[in-house]
Parts: sequence; C-alpha cells; structure tokens
Amino acid sequence: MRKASYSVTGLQRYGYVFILPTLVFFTIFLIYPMFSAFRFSFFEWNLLKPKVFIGLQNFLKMVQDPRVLNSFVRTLHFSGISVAAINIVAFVFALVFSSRLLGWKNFWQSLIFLPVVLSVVAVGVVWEFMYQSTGLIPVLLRKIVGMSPPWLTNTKAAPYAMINVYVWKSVGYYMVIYIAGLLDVPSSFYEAARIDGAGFWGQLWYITIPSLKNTIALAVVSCVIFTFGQFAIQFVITKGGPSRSTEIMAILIYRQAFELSKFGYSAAISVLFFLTMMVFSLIQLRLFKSGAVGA
Amino acid sequence: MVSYRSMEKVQRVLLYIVVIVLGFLFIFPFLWMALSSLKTSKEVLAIPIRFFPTVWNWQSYVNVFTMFPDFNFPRFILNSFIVTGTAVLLCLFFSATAGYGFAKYRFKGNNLLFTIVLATIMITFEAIIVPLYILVRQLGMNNTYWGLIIPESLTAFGVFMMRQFFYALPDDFLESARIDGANEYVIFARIGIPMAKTALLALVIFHAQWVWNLLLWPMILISNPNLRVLPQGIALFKGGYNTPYPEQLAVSVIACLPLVLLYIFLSKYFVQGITMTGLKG
Amino acid sequence: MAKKVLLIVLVVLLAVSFTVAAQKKDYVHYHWTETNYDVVNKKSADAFMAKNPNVRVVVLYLPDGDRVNIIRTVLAGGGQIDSFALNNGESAEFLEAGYMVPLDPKGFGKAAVKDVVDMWTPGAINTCGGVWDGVYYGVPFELSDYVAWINVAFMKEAGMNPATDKPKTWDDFVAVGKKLMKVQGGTTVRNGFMCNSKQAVFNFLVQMNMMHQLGLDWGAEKGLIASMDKPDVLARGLRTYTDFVVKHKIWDPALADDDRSGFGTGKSAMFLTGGTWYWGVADYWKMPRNNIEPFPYPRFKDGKDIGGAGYGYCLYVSKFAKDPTLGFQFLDAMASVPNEFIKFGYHQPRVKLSNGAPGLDAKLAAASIPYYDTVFKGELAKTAVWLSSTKGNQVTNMVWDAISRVIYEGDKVEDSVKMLQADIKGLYQ
Repeated sequence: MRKASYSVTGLQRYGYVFILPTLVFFTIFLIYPMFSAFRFSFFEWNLLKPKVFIGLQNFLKMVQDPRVLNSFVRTLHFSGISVAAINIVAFVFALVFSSRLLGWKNFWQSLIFLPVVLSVVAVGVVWEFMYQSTGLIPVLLRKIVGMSPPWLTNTKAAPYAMINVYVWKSVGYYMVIYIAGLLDVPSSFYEAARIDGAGFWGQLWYITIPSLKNTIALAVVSCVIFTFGQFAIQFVITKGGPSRSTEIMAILIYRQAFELSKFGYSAAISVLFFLTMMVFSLIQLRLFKSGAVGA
Repeated sequence: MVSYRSMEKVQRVLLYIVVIVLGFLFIFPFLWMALSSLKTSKEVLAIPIRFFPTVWNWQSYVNVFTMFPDFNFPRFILNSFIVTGTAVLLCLFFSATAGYGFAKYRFKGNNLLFTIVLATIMITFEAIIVPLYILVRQLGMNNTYWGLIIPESLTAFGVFMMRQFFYALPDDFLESARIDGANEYVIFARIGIPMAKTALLALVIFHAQWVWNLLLWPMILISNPNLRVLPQGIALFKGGYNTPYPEQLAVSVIACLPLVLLYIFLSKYFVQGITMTGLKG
Repeated sequence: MAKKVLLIVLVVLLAVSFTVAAQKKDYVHYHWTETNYDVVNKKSADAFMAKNPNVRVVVLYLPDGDRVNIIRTVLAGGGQIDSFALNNGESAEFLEAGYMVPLDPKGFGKAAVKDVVDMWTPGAINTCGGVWDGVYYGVPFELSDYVAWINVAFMKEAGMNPATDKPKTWDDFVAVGKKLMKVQGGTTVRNGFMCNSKQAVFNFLVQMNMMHQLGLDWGAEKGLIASMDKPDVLARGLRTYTDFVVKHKIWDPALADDDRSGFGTGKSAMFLTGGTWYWGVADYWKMPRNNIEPFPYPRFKDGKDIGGAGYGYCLYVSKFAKDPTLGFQFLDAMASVPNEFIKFGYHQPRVKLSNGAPGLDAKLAAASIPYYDTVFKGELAKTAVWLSSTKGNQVTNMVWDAISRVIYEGDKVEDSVKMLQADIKGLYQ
C-alpha cells in the first residue's frame, strides 16, 4: 500500500510526539541508571566510602573468578532446560486444553494459569516445605519410585527443583499464547488434511506446527529473555545454595552488591550479564527471522 | 471396527482424566498454602505431613489484622492497590502511545529507537537498583508512591505488544478519519484506543501481576511503614526468631486473591487480546 | 461512561497518593524485629514521644537478615536515617567509614563520656562493637552469648541421665547426637544436632568458636590472617564441624533449614546458636521449658576453655541525624528498660539509668532466665570473640563456602581449606 502523501506532510513527525513520553521516562529511569551501573564497574565501591577508580581490575578479576564461571554455567543450564520444558509442555497443554472435546475450557485453562499470578514470596514457603526430606515430594517419590534425592541440599538435584517450580509458574502464560495461536489456524486446513488421510500426528506435524511458526518463535525468544532475568524463585527458596549450585547470575549480582558490598564488582558482572543476553537474543532473532522486531 | 462415536467417547473420558489430574497438580501448592494457613504453628511443621488441619484455626486470619500492630495489613493492601493501579494505568499510557507512534508513523530513527526501547528488557533490575535508588532519591522521590510507581510502570514488553497490535491494525480507519479532518491525537484517542481494548486488557494482567508481586524495589525504596506494599509486608513478616507460619500463609493467601479475581474477570479478554496483538505471530 | 469512571478513579488515586505521601516523619530509627521485643520497643518510643511532643518518631522493625543491607543502602543513598542498630560483627565496616556520631554525654544528662560509659557493665560497649579507634560510639542494647542446648525429654527417652550425660567434649557431642537422632524408613526424622542450612552467619559462628578453641585467634584480622598459615589446625576445626553431616550423620541438612524452629519443634535434639533469649522462642513454639536445658559449649579435650560466641548489639546515632543530642536521648530511652526485656530472656548489660535508678536487676535476671547463674553467667566470661573486621561479611561467606563445599559438594576437607586460605589471603592483600 503506497501512501505517497505521507512523505510530504509533517504527519509522520507526530510519531515523535507519541513516542516522546516513553522515551523520556525510559531514558531517565532505565537507560541512565544502566549506564551509571556500567560506570560503577570501573570502580571499587562499598557504598559507604567514596568510589575508588580501578580501571579494568573488576573485569580481570571476573574472568578468573570460578564463581562467575559457575554462575554463568548455572544460568545457561537453568535457562536452557526451562525454556525447552516450558515451551514443549505449554504446546502440549495448548493442544489438550483447547481440544474440541473439552467443555468448560476457560475454567481448566485458568487452573493452569493460576500459578502465573501467584507471588513467589507467598508460594515459596510452600514449595520449600514440599521439597524438604520429610515433605510431600520426597515422601511420594519414595512410595512410587523407592527413592528420592534430598532436593534442596543436593547440588545436583537443587537446580532441577528450581526448574520445576519455575516451569510450574510459567507454563500457563505460554499455554495461553499457544492457544491463541492455535485458534488462528483455519479449520479448513485440518479438513483438507483429514480428507487426504492424515491422522493426528500427520496433522500436527504438517499443519499445526508450521502454522504456529511465528508464535513459537515469539514464545521462545521472550521466554529466554524472561528466564535469564529470573531471580525470585532461587532467591526465596534456596538463596543460591546449596553451595552455589542454584546461584544464577541475577543472584550473584545481587549478593555481590547487597551481601558483600562490592558494588563495583557486581556492576561488572551485570555488564557481562547484559552482553550475554544481548548476544543470545540476537542469535535467536537471526535464527527465527520472524517479523517480531523491525517488521 | 469401532464406531467413530464410541472412540470419541473414550477419547473424551481420557481427556477429562488428564485435564483433571493436571489441573489438580497445578493448583495443589495453592490449596496446600490455603489449608496450612488454617493450621496451628506446630502443625504446619509437623512430621509426618498433614494436609487437613485437625482444628480449623480461622484465628490466623483474624490475627493477621489484629495481632501485629506494626504490620498494618489493610494499609499495605491499600498501598498495593494504589501503586499497582497507577503503575498499570501509566504502563498502558506509555505502551499505547509509544506502540502507536512506532507502528503508525514512518519517521527517521523509528527502527533504531524501537530497538533501543526493546533492548531495555535486557536490563536486569538488580543491576540498576543502586543507581536507580540514588537517582530517585535525588529527585526527592524516595519514600513516596511515585518513587514506586514510575519505575514500576516501565516495561518494554508493553511497548512491543502494543506496537504489534497497532501494526496489524489496517490504516483505513485512520485514513478516513484524517480525511474527515480529525487531528492525530483525536484519532488515537477515539479510534486507536477503543480498538485496542482487548490488547490493553491482556497487557493489564501481564503487568499487574508483576507490579503487585514486586518485592525488591519497595524493600529498598520504602522505609516508611505507612507506604509499605503487601509483598514487603509478607517478607518482613518473618520474625527474627519465630516465623508465625499460619499468619504468614494467611496473608499470602490474601495477597493472592486480588490477582486471582482480576484474572477471572479478565480471562476471556486475555486470549482474545493476545490474538489481536498478533503476538502469536 | 466507562471513560468517565476511569477518569474519576485516576483522579482519586492521584489525590490519595499526594495527600497520603504528604506525611513527614521527623525521626527515623532502624531496628530489627522480634515479636516480643517489638512490643517493649514500641512502649519506649511512645513514652519518648509523650515526653517530647514536638518529635515524631518512627521505628522500623526489619528482619534481622536484611537489616544491615537496608541500612547500608539508605546511608549511601542519603535517605533519612537518624539512628540504627548493629551488632559487633557488623559495626566495624560502618565505623570505619565514619557514619556514626561519637557518644554525646549531653544526650544522657551527663558531663563526660566516662560517666556515660559507667552506666553499663565494664567493657560492655567494647564487646558490643561500639568502640572504634579509642572513641565510644555505641549505646549497648544487648550482650549475650551462645550456649549449647539439649532436649532433655529426648535424653530420658533414650535412657540417658540429663544430670550427668550432657556432652562435655566434641567427641561426647557426637556420641550423644548419635543416641538422640531418629531415623524412620531410611530418612532422618530427628537430627542429633542441626544448624541453619541456608544462612552463612550461624555456621560461621560455630566454626569460629571451634577455631578459637583450637588456639587460632579469629577475633581480629591479624589473628585470622596468621591462622591461614596453620592448615592442619584449620583442617581439624573444619573436619570436626563438617563430620556432623558427612561422617557421623547426626545432622541431615535436608530435614529442616532453620535451627531455631527446628529445635523448638523437636526436629533436632541439640543446637548451638541460642542465647538467653531462646526461652522466649521456645515459648512461641510451645516447647515446654522443662524439656530443654542449656549447657556450656563442648570443648576440645586438648583445646582452650572457651565458650560460645559472644555478641552484642549497639544503637548508633547516624551522622545524618539533624539533632544528634536528641538522637542520644532517644537511644537512651530505648535502652532504659532492661527489666522489661529480661522477662523474655533478653539480656541488656545496663548497670545504672541516666536518672540514677538501678539498671538490670540481677535477681530478676536470675529468676527470668532459667540456668542464668549456673550456665549463662559463667560462659559469658569465656566467650569466643566475634571477628571484628571491615570485611567481616566476606569472611563469613568464605567460611560458609568452605563448609558448604564439604557438606554439599563432597569436597575433601584439605582441599576446602586450601581454597579458604586462598580466599582469605586474597581478601586482605
């Protein structure tokens, strides 16, 4: 659709007016503090004494610090598995909970969505109790499978406990996105496929998934971003323990600043964090080439 | 050959079983939380675990409001409503205006500025919390509602969502309104916004649940107990040596209710809204 | 119509936010929260406001774990903070940065600082962390020490005699722990002993106590650094503590994460991080006072005769206080009701009040705190000194890392000690 008239009038300049409030506030309250934080990374500062300029020392220290590496790996592990689990489960749930055989769809979907609106501070205590060695989960596991690791005190099991809680909390949201996507697939497609003899799996593979390509792209990309920034679950339930096995980067940044008063070092780690997120987002966007950004 | 009808019946039964089990599993922690809020302190921690309280201790809910003079929970709830309500409205304002601006106008720097705004999603809160606190304090806004509201109303995701929506909206409506002589602001307010209603409602749920449950920022910014918000109240409720578990669980249940109600009220718009933003692609 | 409603709601919200935010407080004090003491503190604050009608006081009751971080952030951001409470493990960092005002005798109605200091037991201000570079800053608010606790009901159940069978050495401790723990179906349902499995500071304090007993001076930076040249002793101390989990299995961290509630609800038979105030906690958990007894910290057979960690809290006037003299008057008022606190087992070392009245009533203390004369008083004279360092927080975390590596990751004690040595040396170079 060519609109030759627009390039002539100052009409397009109205765009500036509309985006102005957002730009102003984002710059003042998000972008400026971010640059301040980046600036802090070149100093050593415990908030009480004046800042001491130390150049790149924080970054040198960071590269050699095994805890930063641990945190980085933990974050990748947590995010990778969570994103995969959430999207697969959400997709399957979307199929199940929007099935035409199901009545009262809204009600059942709401049950799955409920964890999304619950506050982690409120529910964290419950999950903690459920994971303790005499809590519900180990008790059930022992009855069913015969054994259960000590979830919150075993360095290998704790990350999976966290993933479990996070998936529980997030699945509902992505399920709704996939449901919205499914609704948009014209039923004529399925009719045609059925006439051609395609069964359930055939329809799924050849109709549903390709039609949802953009939805999947969007869901995965935003899931990665939100999961990377996730903080509350580990903070409330394990505080990064046991022995730093659930100390994802957001927690390390917080602890360095607010428990150890090393605000400069914390800022340096947050620079690394930000750059990592940016790299991953760019890779994903390239990969999916969806119309999500700059369409 | 089994008839199509009866195969469907079997499928339906299986489906319901799966749905019921999954539904139950997902709300179970909330149920456990609600049931435990009605137990006594000792029962909450008892071994072996009990689901149902032996005595229904409704007293815990009363205690929440009466026993703790420093924890004025009605006040916290009011504060949470004020902060969440205003922050969400502001968020809608920012997202709708910016989304509309980016989507409907071609101006120099459109893509670049949008990318910059989008990039702010990657700024983790923990990283900027100290400079943000210092900034807010310099502006004289610490220990004020606005100090909470403004930073909590900013989300690039909202801008992204509304831009998607307005982008998918055909320009015909705007064209005809322009021909009729309406100015751009009126077009936005009288045509753009009403059409975006469902998308905005979807954004409401998304943002409201984030602001309502936010803990870290209020903890750092607000020291005046009259301005505390609910998650702060719950977190601070942990005593130094004793955590009054039933009361803490009770107030947690109370804290979850408004959002649950909001979701129930808006749930039918939620799916629609996401569909309309073209979020699904 | 809906738009009108929305507009009205918006206006109302804005109006409320402006009017409500207009309240201003004149004096803000940062404290920690504990249900029973909050009531006493509130009464003191109210009484102070009654005597000074032109002052409005706000006392902030914060969870103990977050209190320091919040204070640090507010001081640095320049928020309003007139006075605050810190313990002796925390104060060095702030004193060094110059954030407190030295004691002002005028605030107590005295002529000289010495007169103020004499109102507390000798050395109290020092032990509570309120002295820096020879200058007095702090108003003591609590002086306490950790003693060991044991559930005597469990002892009797296991056929032991509480009068004679309480552990005296760490080896006894392990033996008793083994007898008192309970396992059901392969899971520990009662720990012989437990400490907090998530928080660093409590584990640090017990470990620090062991190091003191083994002859290492972990009370001062110099001593701490010097001790890093004795890896064998460090390993012995670390092994004694971590073996509770790893070798003797009398402590299963997965059973419960908090030792205070754990002991109070019978999930643990012994615990090591409770002071006189624990009686109040036991009451809260409905643990009958007759079921538990304090006793002196176990010692090493060949180690020093040192008890549990000593600690104290001081109240400080911040350098941002608009009226420091008023600040000290307020702090004095807060610290003038030792006989109210003692009823909950909370011990304040106040000898004399500013108006000349006697401070803590020794008879009342002995009556309110079971075993005060037989256990607490004696141990108070032999406390392990809590490390005083501006980097204390980091040391605490490094020691907890060392412990965690062994109990959660299965590292060998020697390897963990090597990493601890590297950490501490790197911290103080």
